[in-house]
Amino acid sequence: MKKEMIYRRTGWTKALFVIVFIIFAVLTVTYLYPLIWVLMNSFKQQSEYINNITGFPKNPGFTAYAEAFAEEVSGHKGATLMSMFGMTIAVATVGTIITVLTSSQAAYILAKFNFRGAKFMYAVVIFAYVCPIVGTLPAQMQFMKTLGFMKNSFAEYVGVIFLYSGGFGFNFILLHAYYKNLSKSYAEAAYIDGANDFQIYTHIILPLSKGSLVAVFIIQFIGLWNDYTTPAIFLKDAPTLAVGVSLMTKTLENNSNFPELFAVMVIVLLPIILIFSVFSKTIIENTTVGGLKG
Amino acid sequence: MDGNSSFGNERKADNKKRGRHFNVRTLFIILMLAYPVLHFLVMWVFVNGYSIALSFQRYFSTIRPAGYDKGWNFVGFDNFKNLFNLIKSDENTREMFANSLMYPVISCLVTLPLSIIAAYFMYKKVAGSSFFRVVFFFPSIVPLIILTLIYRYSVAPDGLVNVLLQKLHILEKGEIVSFLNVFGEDTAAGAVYIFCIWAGIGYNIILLNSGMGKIPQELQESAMLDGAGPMTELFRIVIPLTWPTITTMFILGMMSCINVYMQPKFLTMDKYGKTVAWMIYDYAQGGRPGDLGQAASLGLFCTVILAPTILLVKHFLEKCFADVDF
Repeated sequence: MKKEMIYRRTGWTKALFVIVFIIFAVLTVTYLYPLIWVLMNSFKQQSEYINNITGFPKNPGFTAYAEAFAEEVSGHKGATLMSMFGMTIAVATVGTIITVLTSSQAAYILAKFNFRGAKFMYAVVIFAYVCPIVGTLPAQMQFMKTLGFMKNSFAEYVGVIFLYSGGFGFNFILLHAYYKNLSKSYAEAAYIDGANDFQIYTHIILPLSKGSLVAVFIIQFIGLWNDYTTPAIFLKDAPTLAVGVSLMTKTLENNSNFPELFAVMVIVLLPIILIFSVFSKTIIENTTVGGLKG
Repeated sequence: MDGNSSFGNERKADNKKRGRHFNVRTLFIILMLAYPVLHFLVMWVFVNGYSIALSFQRYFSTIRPAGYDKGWNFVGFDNFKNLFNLIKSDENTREMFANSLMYPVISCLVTLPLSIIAAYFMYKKVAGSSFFRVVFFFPSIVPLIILTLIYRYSVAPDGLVNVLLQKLHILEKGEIVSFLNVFGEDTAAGAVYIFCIWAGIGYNIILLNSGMGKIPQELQESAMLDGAGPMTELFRIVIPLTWPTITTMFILGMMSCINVYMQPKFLTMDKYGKTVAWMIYDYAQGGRPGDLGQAASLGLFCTVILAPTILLVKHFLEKCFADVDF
């Protein structure tokens, strides 16, 4: 009964919902159709694409994929799609684990402990989030160079992980809101049973917040997987996918090898689409921002 | 959100135990916060300070004006004077600022209002809304380089959209949808903005929709009983109750004027639509120490204008509606 009352629509309200539905459907087509088109063209020959841009491939084949896997990024010997996959996984996985952990620590402490300066720290973090200072990239670079993080490929890798490892970014804000609303009764019960704060954090708080941590982990992982600016500047030796593909694009466009370019796009997109289709519910439910009062 | 939910003010009858617990707790807090605070001090406080210092310095190689050393030199306000001269005399610099300023206008005044309306209909469960939610999220998980490629090839003069419309005889042969053309000098800017709306609206809708999902069901029902139409419900209930989310999104939208660069760079293949962030990225990417001081001063100039503006807007927006807790 309740449901019917809410969803009953009449007259022009009904028309409005139909119009909105049509707009949403058109938007959906603009998101999905180009993808199907890219997939279709990745099975064409180079010569076929130019004459048959919108149609189905006449002799579908995997030539473009074979070429894509063999392609090296110009100026980076040995940087193929597979090696860039490896690099991207290494950066995104380790970077995400560390930043989720440090964010969780900082968020738990600032949400649940009243010590002197806790409120001030929270205000500073919110201020830093709302008001980023512009153009610190050159200073960051100079600083990383001085610390030796740009000497060789391993130092570069460690440097990028260090840049990603902060605990006061957007993850902090999400987790802070979560810990703030977490009931303290579990922790108190454990405290009475003689557990100390370290044990409570590792044995109770972390398992309790597993859902939120997984959500933050996935969102952060996709963010780092797709990041361009940081690896473009601080990982000069071994490109990640986002950087490598943008370099590859230039070569392939100069050679007009569009099917291969489309094959590259499909290969890069597949794992992301896979992750998204498995976790879409978790990701969407946890995509949320509230107010930012310091 | 009450003070009682913190552990800080527990009392322990046993004094000895209390002392020990205090020490363990202090140690716990220090150890837990050590790395995040250290990282923040280094990467935010120090790097920002260093950036400010850099903007008053210039790097000279062996060829240098008399009176300066090789390496970094304090040059006072020279970098800023340089910047103001460029603003006064150089059309490209002025265009760069104008380009950058368009992004907050697009995202706060076009994308955000459109997303609020769209999110409202999704909240009211328009047919297929759970399917649309998944599809609309899609652009935000695709790497920007791939998304711009997809868009570029779709709207290229001989790309998907034009060829399809020609085949369907909506366009004459050789005719193109010119306002989507990222390669035309006059149309590139508009085409990039359309891309930003297209790529950004989905994520905005999801964010707003999850904010609206927290509005208690009873409010919706009582609005229905009082005979409120969609417009009344949207402006009197939904928008005021999701205002904190909208405020945050507005502020993030304002920041686009200093962080957008990949969209025009990738879409126009480095040709049109230079922005401040792009300029700074180029300086850093080039790695020539001679440019870094100038880049830092450009950044500081923008910060000095932008930071107070954002704080003011934030303050004003937070005053708009009374705080609600539910």
